[in-house]
Amino acid sequence: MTSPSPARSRTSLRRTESEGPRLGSVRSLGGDPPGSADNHMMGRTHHLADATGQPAGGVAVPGAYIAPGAYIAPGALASQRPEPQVRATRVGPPRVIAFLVVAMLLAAGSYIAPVIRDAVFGPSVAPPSKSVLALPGEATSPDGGLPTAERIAFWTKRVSEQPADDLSWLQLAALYSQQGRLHVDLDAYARALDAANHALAIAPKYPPSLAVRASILFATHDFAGAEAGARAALVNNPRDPSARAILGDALLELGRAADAAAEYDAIADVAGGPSLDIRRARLAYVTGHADDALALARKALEGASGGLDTASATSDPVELAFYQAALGEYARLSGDAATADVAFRAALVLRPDDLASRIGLARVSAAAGDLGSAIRLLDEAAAIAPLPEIEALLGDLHTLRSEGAAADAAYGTVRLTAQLSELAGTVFDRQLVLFDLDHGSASAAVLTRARAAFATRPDAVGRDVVGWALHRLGREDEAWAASEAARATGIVDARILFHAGAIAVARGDAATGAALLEQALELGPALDPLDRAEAEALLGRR
Amino acid sequence: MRTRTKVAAVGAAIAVLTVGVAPLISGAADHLEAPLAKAHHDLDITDIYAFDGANSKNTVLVIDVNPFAGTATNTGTKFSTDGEYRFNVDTDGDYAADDIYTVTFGSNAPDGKQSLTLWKNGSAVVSGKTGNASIGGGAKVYAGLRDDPFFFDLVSFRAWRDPDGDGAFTYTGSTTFAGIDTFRGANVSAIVLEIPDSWLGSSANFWGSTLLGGNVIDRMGKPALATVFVNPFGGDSDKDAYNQTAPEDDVTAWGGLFTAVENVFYGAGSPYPAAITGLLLPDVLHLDVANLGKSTGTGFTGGAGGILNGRTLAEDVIDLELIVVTGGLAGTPVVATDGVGANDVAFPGSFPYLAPAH
Repeated sequence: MTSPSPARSRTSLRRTESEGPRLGSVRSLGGDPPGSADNHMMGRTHHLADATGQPAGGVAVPGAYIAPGAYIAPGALASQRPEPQVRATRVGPPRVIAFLVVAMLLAAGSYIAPVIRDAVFGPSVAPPSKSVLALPGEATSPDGGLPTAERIAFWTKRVSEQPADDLSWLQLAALYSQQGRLHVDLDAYARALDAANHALAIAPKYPPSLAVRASILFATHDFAGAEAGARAALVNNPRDPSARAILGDALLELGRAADAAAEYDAIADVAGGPSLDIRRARLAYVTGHADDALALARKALEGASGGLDTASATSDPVELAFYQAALGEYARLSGDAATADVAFRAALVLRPDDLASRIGLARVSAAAGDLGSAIRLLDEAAAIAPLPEIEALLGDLHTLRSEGAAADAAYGTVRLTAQLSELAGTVFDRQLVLFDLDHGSASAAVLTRARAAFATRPDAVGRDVVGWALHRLGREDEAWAASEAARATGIVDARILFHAGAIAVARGDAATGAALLEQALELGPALDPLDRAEAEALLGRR
Repeated sequence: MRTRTKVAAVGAAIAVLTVGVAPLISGAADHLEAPLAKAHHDLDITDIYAFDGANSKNTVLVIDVNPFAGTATNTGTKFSTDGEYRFNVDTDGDYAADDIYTVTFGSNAPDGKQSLTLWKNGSAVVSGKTGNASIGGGAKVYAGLRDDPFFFDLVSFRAWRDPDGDGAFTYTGSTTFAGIDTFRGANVSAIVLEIPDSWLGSSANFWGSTLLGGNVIDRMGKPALATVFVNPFGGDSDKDAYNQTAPEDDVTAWGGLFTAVENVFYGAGSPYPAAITGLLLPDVLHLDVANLGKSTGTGFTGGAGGILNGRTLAEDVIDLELIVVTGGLAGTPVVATDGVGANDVAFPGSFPYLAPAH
């Protein structure tokens, strides 16, 4: 299967001057996925691909995971921007979509805590800090071993030989999950979930299977399911730090920061180290302690680099890139462009395909006024995985440069994301809602979607998105209440502040609005360019 | 009687299988266990073996680590560069090591291999690199990725012991095993040491251990003892402590627990439990050097004292254990075999004895 890369096709639709980076090897996951009959998403993807006349099948994306903090779906464009009127001449959905899409998993901490290393081997373990929660390697383990695709083939063969082998299903679930995370691949997550369900159909109370399933649910934004799954895993294996970490992660996304903190504290003795530090960084950020978040991200990176003690160190460049990217993201969110720039660039040296760093660096460049570099970085990122976040930002930058056709092409890709699969719509729900709100599509239906997104992830950002939807519908008092509720969590976030300021201005409270808008603007690269433009316009500077 | 006793020795380990909430895949052999071992796959001992060399004047000692090396998530194929791999040999019968053969590894060379050095009591014997036989100082050593010689239908065993996976062993699953070797196609990181019989004397005790930063990460003598007997009803709180106990202290530290576990199967009034404990502990492989390799797993022709004599690659320790643990000493066993009687690939019969990696 040697389908042309999405990058090339995409380029042919949208630009001719350059090609994005070639994508990696042809996807080969060892034949049909186990239980592929149940894999609706795969079928849908192929259908879309066929509809465009493009070859079906996917391309392995040398992709990335998303740094903490990326949970703030950045497609948010501030103003009620008119829909670009110029339609790109396109005969079908962008080819990019033909390959499995992409999950910007989770934002927040998409590190799926690998339970996995213990998954097969038994529930009764309390591993020490080192790599208990560490990130799995990418193509090959840093100390040898088969590439992930070949490991998947190994365990796939075993389950075909002995379908009652739940441990092999569990390995498959863990490996597909790893692949999904590193390659930003929702289809891999669908396969992972299918494999985990097979394992649990055989031994429904086996803690490692329950924990892996919980991690997959978390990654695909079923946070309530992840919480329930992690709790189920802990019933018979209460000392498993991996399951408890997943529980903490889920609670955090469910807006229960104090409960999440308690779970993290509970594993600190046995599973301290970079993977816990980076979780606590996100906890600090969403509770309004951006400086602490930055310090914790720095500590996590030091730990992973061996600066604190060798037991926590890793030689895996993918893992190190993750921590560099996380540091960059927390620096960016706190307005520290210089630190962010250095960290993102370091991550890209370690892992050239690191998506989160490319996006983060694009934001830093855009904030510094270098739209050309930002667009180039986003084009490269989109060639790796055309996440709605990337395409929306790309469209906005083109809009700023009055490049209507290019902007429209990017926006078109965003709109297609939701049609790809139910899972894509779920995982990207906030990004897509914000995109609609900021690109002329605000409606009661979008408000309903915002509320649905909030119901599944009732945190500060969820409240803010609901408030922003109300604002776009002119229901300013309700919008203000939602915005206040978002800020009551303690979070200090540039976009939430910008939204609050805009709502305050709309309510006629110019002084409060100006103060909030100034606060947002002071966070520099944390505020995306069109948000910045609208904030400045509201302050009368444009 | 000799046969019967031998079964008991091996078999007690299987109590493991039945009683213990031991880590699963480890099931019978020590394929993963205590927290420390589990956190360091490259120091996690799966099995040890001791058998006669192709040259019968030599003895082969094997330590396997790293279950499902390179295929399970988060496993690699390299040896620890910080750790030590120890072949401990007691030659005077006091269960304290008289000779320690240690193998240490360097980092990857450009060709992907690691340098290695074999030490005897702190003095270098021979150096080489992984994937090759290194010969010198009277010894021959090999380290590298090989086929896992262990064979066992762990899947069927688990389904029988704990059908819903909750850790409470009910033994309500099918007693008819599928007979599929769970370790087929699996590799381990193996260290194979061949030394003259004269270095061991006529009789010795052997156990393997791994260390990191001076702490014992894992140790193993007889198959699966820690797996079966330590924390037999769940958890792992004692497993590191067990691994860190010196064999000479085993009886004092763990004898009571072992007998208590055996009582579950044989009843408190049975003479078997105490006898079995006496055979199992200290947790070492006894080597009747002249008779090594003559225990095939089908006849109980072990060496002096009727105890397990070394362990050959082909020996079906699981069947022996199943027979003993499921009532075979007192009548008909509930499960007499797992249906797997041999490794999935043939052993080459010459150094390094384990089959090539898959």
